[in-house]
Amino acid sequence: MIGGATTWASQEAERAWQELHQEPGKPKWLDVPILVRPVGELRSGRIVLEALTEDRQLLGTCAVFNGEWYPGCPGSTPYSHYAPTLYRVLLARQRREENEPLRLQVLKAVAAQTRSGRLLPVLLKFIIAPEHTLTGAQLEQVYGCPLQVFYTRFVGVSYDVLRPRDGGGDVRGRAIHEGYRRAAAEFVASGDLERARAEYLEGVRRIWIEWLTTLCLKISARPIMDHTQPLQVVDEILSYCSQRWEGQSLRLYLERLFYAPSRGISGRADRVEEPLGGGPLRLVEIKTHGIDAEQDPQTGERHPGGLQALAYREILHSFGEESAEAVVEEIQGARIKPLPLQAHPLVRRLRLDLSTRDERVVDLIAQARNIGYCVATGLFTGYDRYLLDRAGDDWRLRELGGSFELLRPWPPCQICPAQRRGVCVYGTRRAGPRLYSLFRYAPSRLFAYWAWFHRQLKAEERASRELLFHLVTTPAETLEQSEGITISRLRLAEQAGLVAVFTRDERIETRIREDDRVLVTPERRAPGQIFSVEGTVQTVGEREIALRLNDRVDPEGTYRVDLLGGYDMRQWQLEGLTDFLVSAMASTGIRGRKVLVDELPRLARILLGAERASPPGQAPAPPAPDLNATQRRALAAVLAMEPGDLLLIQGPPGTGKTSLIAHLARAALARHLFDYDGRAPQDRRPVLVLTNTHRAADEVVLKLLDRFPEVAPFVIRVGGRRADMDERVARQTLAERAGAREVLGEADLAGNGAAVLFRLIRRAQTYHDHAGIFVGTLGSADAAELRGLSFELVIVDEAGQATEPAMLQALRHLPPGYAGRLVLVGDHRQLPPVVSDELVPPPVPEAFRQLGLQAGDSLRTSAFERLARLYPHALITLTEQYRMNAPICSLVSETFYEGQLVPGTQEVAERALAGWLSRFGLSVPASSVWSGPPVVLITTEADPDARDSGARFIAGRSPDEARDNPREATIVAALLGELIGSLPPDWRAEVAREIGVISPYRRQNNRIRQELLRRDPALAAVRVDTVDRFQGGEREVIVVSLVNSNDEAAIGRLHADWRRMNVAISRARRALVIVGDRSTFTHDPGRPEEDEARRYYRALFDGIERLARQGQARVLDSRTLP
Amino acid sequence: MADPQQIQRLLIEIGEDVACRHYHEPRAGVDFNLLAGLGLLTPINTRIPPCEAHGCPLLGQCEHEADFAPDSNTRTPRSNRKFRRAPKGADVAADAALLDRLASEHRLAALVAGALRGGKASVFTLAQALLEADLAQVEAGGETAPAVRRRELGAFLRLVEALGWVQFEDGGLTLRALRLPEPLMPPAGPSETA
Repeated sequence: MIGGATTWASQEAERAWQELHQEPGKPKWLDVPILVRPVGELRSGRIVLEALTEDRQLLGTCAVFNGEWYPGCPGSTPYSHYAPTLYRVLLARQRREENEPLRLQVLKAVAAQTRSGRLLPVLLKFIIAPEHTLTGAQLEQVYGCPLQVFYTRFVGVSYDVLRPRDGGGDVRGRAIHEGYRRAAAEFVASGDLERARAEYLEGVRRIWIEWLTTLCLKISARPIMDHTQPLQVVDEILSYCSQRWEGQSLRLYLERLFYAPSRGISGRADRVEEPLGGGPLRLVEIKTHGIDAEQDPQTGERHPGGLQALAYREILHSFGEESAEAVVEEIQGARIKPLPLQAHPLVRRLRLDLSTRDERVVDLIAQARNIGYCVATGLFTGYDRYLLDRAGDDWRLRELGGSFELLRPWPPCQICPAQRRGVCVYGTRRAGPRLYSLFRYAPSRLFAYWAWFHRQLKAEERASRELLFHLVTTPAETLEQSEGITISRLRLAEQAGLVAVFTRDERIETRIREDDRVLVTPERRAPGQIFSVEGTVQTVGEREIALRLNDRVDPEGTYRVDLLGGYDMRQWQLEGLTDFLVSAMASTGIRGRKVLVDELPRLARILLGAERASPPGQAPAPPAPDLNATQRRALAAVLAMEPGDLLLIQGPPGTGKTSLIAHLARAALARHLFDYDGRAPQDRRPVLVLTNTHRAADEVVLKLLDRFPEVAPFVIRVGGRRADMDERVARQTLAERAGAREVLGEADLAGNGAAVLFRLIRRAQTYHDHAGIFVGTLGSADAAELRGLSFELVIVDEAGQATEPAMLQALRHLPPGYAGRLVLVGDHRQLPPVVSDELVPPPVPEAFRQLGLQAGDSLRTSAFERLARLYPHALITLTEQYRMNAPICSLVSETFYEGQLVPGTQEVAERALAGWLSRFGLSVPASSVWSGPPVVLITTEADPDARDSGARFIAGRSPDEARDNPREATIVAALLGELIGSLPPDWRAEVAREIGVISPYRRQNNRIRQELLRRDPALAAVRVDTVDRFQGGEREVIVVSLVNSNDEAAIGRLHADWRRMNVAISRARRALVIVGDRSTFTHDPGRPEEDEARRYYRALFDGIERLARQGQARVLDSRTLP
Repeated sequence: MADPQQIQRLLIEIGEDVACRHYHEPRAGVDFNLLAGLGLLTPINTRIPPCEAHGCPLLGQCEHEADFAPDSNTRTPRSNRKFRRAPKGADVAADAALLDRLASEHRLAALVAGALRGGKASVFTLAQALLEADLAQVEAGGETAPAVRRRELGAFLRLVEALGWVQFEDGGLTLRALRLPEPLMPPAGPSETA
């Protein structure tokens, strides 16, 4: 908590503490946050704590006893989880040496009178670490089986992707949800049932197109319930809408983000109805299937969604909406069964009284929340092998207290991946031999490797779990000014459909940029209070921001926009990492004793440094006249690989990695074309290409289509159509290949929709059966297209940018025992993996030298980099590049590649800006920086106006990214304005599209965009972006704005990774301009961690001077420019 | 691998016993669908004997054993997994040269000969022909199983390569006709390349 929020919370805590003491012996409902530290030795039955306010003012000593007992209480509460769970949390924090106080949201406490007559505050009910957010769905999972949460959320056990897994029920649910959502919105807006019906069918159509691939996983001879139910239920839904809302005036809030900072819970309720004439809010949770739902052990009835609805109701109450009602609408067959929460079996069995404030409701939610927090964050077991294995002894995790038998007599094993993988010993459905004592029997090196990366992933996850709390408890002004993640005082200027434009009078200076996920909230409310709408940024202008929202917003009032962060990739990385542990152990076939590292599959041994990778071999390869010698060598080496082999291919900028990958894929397809059959019991396919980004995956597909059109029928782009996808790539997605958009678009869904869908599924299945090259991202390892498939050859592109756990996702699709070939293509001298700014590199044990890891390594060290260090003999480097002209190539090569890199052809070497413009009958402006040599350095060190703004900002979360340099922005705009201004107006945008401006700072990029627009509207076509987003791209002209210019020689965290500079300057084909303060980058301020980077920067500037002496570069003083 | 001698050896080994796809196929490296298509093996689709009954050497080690147990209630299909040698199989066991004629009578012979009308064809062209055949079957509302299994075509191509009808070129990308049996000889036409 920061600033005013801290003070307010502290005052509340002090007031509550005083009130508590005024009525000794009487338990009181407080609901205030405090900080606590254990006092003395931790004891499980009686925990003594020092209590502090958020301002760190001492409140006094307090205690927590088992069973919510306190001196003088009439009796204890059996199965209370509060004390045992808090004890485990405190113990684990103590072991981890986490000395910061722990935050508790104290719900209920009592000032108890001890035997000595002293008053001792005893905490009875509380939320542990409320800043850590769990979703409503996660709470329900905890309630279902806490052990499942331990395995899936903490350990990261996931399904075996080599076994087909049906997801038809999920698609059915999505179709009904989407249809219902649209129909409800339409009916409330227009009152027209026919229009609502059309909207419903459109929703179903959209989901069927988007999720067609998942429907293909089930083979059936005729349409089944997954296909028919969404259409059967339409009449019932419309009739229900009509009965409930005909003639009523109400507002619907659909799938809005809910968040209660005091409870540590978030979620998205399907619908909230607000009667405009007054009356309580009505919260609706829709459930379409309930295999994992609560089941009343007496009646056998399943009733899903109860705990989730209770949790959302509790969130509404915490906003002050005390009268809010909640309903679970269960859709069974063609019927809707509305179940008011009061009638839910969960509520009935507990005899909860929802008309009053029944503390047992809070107990139920707090139990799931606190135990979920303790288990999912690893505080239950840490990385103690014995505790990790012992956790599986009892599915209720009895040590944490709590009761999990209210509605379910056994855990929901049928949907648990840990049970399917044999990791969990519960359940009756055996999928294979059990992996008893997985952690103790794993070789030490494998366990240490798993634990080292796992810790870092969990540390990263923590920051994202605390983001909502940070947004709510930090003043918007602080978020905007010091962190740049909030834009406030915005007014809605325009709303067309779900696209909204917000404006304000002041200039917008922010880190928020296009494609970011944001939360839009009326300023009278805090983020997450029903009225917040999620959206994606489309554009950020000088005084306006355009967003695509999930729901419409009210035109009145002012709004704030908060950055929510990107898609959280931690969970699937965790799953990739743990899959390696589980699969490597399972494939040894050894049970009941410790496994030796030499008994692991060969590829696992290679990755763990226990066996050397083979040097590249040479096998006959198909003719490839368009490849150069090193590329042909790489092709022959890949074709010579044996199952279990690893090969590394380093591709510096512009060296034709993607072309090589296309050749590899085609050659492997030809080799294995007649070896595989769709739907065979062990469905093995020729090639899987996984990339770190969608852009790279699209480029691989395009290269394949351009270069080898004959393989197009066998190429599948994994995933669905995306807005930024090239049309030709989109046509390679399975749904598009089968013609889903056209077929479903023209079909009369209400008439024969299920039959049309069934025929479409059969078509898609046929295309899928024949596909031999699958291209997707590392995150798509569990995608429906890939489920059940293993591959002879798996190629990972951009492997230098993927974290090690992300790369491990690729291993999941090798045949059992990793009996396939793995090729990593990347460049460890370009950008490393993106990880949280806050990640502190953990200690690297001495033994990790065997893994190729060294001091300073972390999750930012890619597997490619590590393995290139470990097996330099298994690395092939591509040395001929086809992008940069000779001077730019020389600069990059000498600075970053020991001079290995050369232009691939004479034409490439001689590329010049003038030559390119002359193709269109244009010329460069005479006597400008553009008319001279292709490399230009504009130094600002003597320019007093060109200082960066770093010092202006208060230290916040990422002050580094908030840096900008107005003078550099002006120089960049002036240079480009001069170039573009000299061209005929019709050509300006065309040329501008081939210009890129790169700076590492988002704030600087926003500033440059604004300056460019001010100069010439045609400059809007210039791509201005960070290095990280430019990797893989190229432009005829690149201008780099270094930004950092200060007396402290602070180059910042981003520049401290010199690989960013390599990427930035190697994007240029014909002209490169660097604007910046050379001395800030070359001066030695005595920071050893920056020594390596400064060596590279000195080499870079020396290289420019060398080129200048040869007449191939020019150095200008910025003061000579306007 | 699927040369005539290998097929002959397998047929001799099978003799009058039951041949199991899970035991023999990976060991012999010969596709059972191809052998059945050539009329050398007959699938046992009724009264399929349990593994114990025919003394499978993999007893106790095979993951498929449970599928054939007398009390098995598995839903996994059991057809086309166990076979007996057909009369033609006995003939080939005695004389491998018969395979040349049997191959020319196989339903894939016409497909391969058609693709090689111009003397050579890309392997991708052949694969595309299979895809189109399957799509046509789907459009006609036919079986869910593919019209022709690629693996069977692959085995057939390797057999006819061993019989000297065709050869692979360009690192396996192109198939060239060398000697097609008389009934399958294509009329002269323009060549098709990879």
